[in-house]
Amino acid sequence: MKYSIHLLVIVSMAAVGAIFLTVNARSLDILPLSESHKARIVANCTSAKTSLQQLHRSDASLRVNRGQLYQSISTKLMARLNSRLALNRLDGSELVAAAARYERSLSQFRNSYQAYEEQLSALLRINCQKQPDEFYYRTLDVRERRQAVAQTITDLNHYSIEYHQIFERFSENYRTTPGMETE
Amino acid sequence: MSDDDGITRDERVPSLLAEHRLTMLIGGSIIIALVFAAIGLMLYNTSGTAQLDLSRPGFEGVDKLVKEGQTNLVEYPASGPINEETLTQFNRLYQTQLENVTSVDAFSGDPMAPDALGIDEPPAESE
Repeated sequence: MKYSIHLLVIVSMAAVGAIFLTVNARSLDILPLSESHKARIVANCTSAKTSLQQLHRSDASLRVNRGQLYQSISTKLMARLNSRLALNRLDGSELVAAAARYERSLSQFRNSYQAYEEQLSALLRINCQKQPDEFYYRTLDVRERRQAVAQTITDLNHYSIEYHQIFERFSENYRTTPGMETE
Repeated sequence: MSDDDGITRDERVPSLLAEHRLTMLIGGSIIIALVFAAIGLMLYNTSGTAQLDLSRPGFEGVDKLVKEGQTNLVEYPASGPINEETLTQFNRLYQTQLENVTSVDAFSGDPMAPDALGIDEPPAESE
């Protein structure tokens, strides 16, 4: 009993220490900006915010358009072909696996866009005249989140091409081996 | 235990409830409505619906940029035979969508780069 209490205390202290070090390491990344840099941010604050607001609007329509497009590929094509193959007792396991990878990527796209949009909205609420430091570092953070969204788009494109390649292989096999039903 | 008028506390509480029935009904209704509205707002914000809502303030006119045609994609029938013809039909439908997907490089570029926004560090002045 005494041993386990000691162990618990040591683990708790280690956890607190790790959190302290992580927070400090993070705060070291956020160096105070020079006065000239702050002055530049304050001077260009209005135009930067206008650009960000336009980006916010254009990205919102892009999100809806791309989301609909990717969703329709999944529900109206991939899922339906996979179901049809199964009903015909054909082995479409590779296509099912590819569709699952695509679906996971689509889910990541939704989540990463949500995180990006929430942070961009928070960034637009910052008064960059009064808080240039906060505005600058938040911009860098939101920029990274947008790059994460772009990465999920690259993944989705990759998986949609992959599905097509597997489908072409399947079609080729089907033509050369008629009656390839599963047992 | 009884009060001066001979009414016990246990008797007084039900009579208080009876006297303020309407007030309590209205108060209760308002509280329930507030709770449900809070839950609804929480779900709206956490589910990602807010990001798809183009009627939010600041997004006026953005809905006109949404392409209607993309949702009108012909559905591939989920049942029926698999043969040369049906595979070709799927290939045709899929290739059309694949072209739509790969023709636009969405979210590319770096419009949030500090230099693009004019908030990058100014170059050090030479002496």
